[in-house]
Formats: sequence, structure tokens, C-alpha cells
Amino acid sequence: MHMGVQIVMDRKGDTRHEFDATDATAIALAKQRFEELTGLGFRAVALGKDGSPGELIRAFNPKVEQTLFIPQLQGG
Amino acid sequence: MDLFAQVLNEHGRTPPRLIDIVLEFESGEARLVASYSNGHRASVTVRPNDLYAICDRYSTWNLDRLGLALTNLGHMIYGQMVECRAIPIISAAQEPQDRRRPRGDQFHTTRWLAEWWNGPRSLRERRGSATSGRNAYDRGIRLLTENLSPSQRAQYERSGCFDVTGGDTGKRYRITQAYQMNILEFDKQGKRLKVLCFTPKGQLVLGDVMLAQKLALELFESEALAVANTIPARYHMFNYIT
Repeated sequence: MHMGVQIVMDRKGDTRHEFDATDATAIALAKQRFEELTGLGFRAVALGKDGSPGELIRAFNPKVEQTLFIPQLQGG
Repeated sequence: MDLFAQVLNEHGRTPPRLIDIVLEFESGEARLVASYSNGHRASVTVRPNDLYAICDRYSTWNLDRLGLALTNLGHMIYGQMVECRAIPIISAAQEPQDRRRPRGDQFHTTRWLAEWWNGPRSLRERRGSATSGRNAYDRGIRLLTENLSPSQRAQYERSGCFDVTGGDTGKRYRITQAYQMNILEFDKQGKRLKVLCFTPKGQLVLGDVMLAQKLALELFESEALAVANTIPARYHMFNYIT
């Protein structure tokens, strides 16, 4: 079993959605969540190892272990 | 500054992280209470006119938002004090007297705040809310530190801020421990150039805000700069920082 996790930043700190990356149904749900969040303006980042910057991703990839969703940016 | 100076004096080499600042009312007196990651708590009495000045400055007139503003301000000041181990040049005592003088209905506002605090909410509710807030804060800080590089983590543990290299321009930025107006841009000589302000939408906890800023600068810097508000570093309130 290969687990992936989608981490969504929110007011509780974050909400984590784990999914089995070998299960077609779980992958479909994870893909749907990815598209919904990015459609709302969230940026998806494949987190790197040991604090390396990682990679900005624009399409769902079930092989990514940890995807962090960052809400849209605004001027402060 | 007494909220922070005592802790810095006692833990100069390894200062604890500031968790939050809350306003407490006891025996008709308002106090600012700062909590630190090592369990230390420090408090100072706050006068009604100072309280009003904070509400006025941040246009915040309820305790939740006031608490957020105080914590935000506290993180900014404490982070900078840790970074330079100095007492700010501008202290409350040096503010012009006119600014501190009671104005209008400020005492009514303070009374309203006190009544709100002493209202029907139970102690358990308050404790629950505080615990929930603390857990969220801790989750955010954990997520942040897990995603800092070893050098950034060491710098953050040491001084509450960390440096980031812009992914598009190669510029150096410093993200300090605050919710906004907390990103310094340096020029090639290492001189502070300007202060940037951009944040992720939504009421996120501190760690999330700082991590979003870091990843934005590293991975989509141009997009972040396009929305960021900037001020020249010389106008920043913590201009004494080197």
C-alpha cells in the first residue's frame, strides 16, 4: 500500500486527507479534491524532503506523497 | 516591552517562542499576558487609554480580533527583539503625549470589552476555546518547522525568523514571526531594501502564514510579488533592525 496525503491549510492549522495511492476509488476522490481546491484558487505544492522547496504542481499526480494546499495570496 | 525583556534576559541564548498574547481582566484591571513555548507567562497592566489606542490603531473592536492584533504585534516585536537582542527605539513611554491622552468614549469601549469578557460565557468555554487555539497554533508551527531546510530551521529556532531565496529572482528575503508586514527584502549588499506584505486568504494560524510565504517566494515568487504591498524599509516600524 502506498499512501498519499493532501494537507489543506485552514484555521485549525491544517486538515489532512490520506488516500491509498493503489486504490482507484481513493485516487479518484483525491483527484476530485485536488481539482476543487485548485479551482478555488489554492496553490498545490508537492512538499520536498527535509525542507527543500518542493514543486508547484498544476495537475493531480497520485505518486506525490505529500501535497500541501495553500490558499490564494492577497496583499496585506 | 516588559512582556518580552524579562524572558530575553532569562533565556538570552535560547529564547522560547512566543505563543500568544491575551487580554485578561481581573479585579477591574486589564492585563496583557504573554505565553511562551517553555510554559513561561509574563504579564503587564494595560491602561484604558493604551487599550483604546490599540483598538483604534487596528480598527478592531471585539476581543477576538483584538487578541489577534495583540498577538500579531507581539510576534513582530518579540521576533525583532530576539533577532537583534535590543530594546526597540520607540517605546510606549516615548510616544507623543497627545496620542496617549484619553479621547472620546474610550473608557466606554474599555468597559464594553470588560463586560463582554465577564459575560455569560463559562470558564470551561473559555478554556476550551483557548486550548483549541493553542492546538491549531502548534499544528501550524509544526507544519512550518517540518518544511524548513536545516539552515532555516536553525535560524528560526535561534531567532524566530528565517531567510528565503526567491525562486525567480534569486533575491534574499527574511520572513519574521508575524502575520503581516513581516517580510524583509535585502539587496545584494545585504542592506534592507523594503518590507513586503502578502498573506494567504483566510484566518490561518501563524505557522501556516509563514510557510505559505516561504513556499510562495521559493516556488511562485513573481505571483507573490504581484499581489504584495510594499513599503521602503526605512519607513518600517522596526527600522532599527540591522
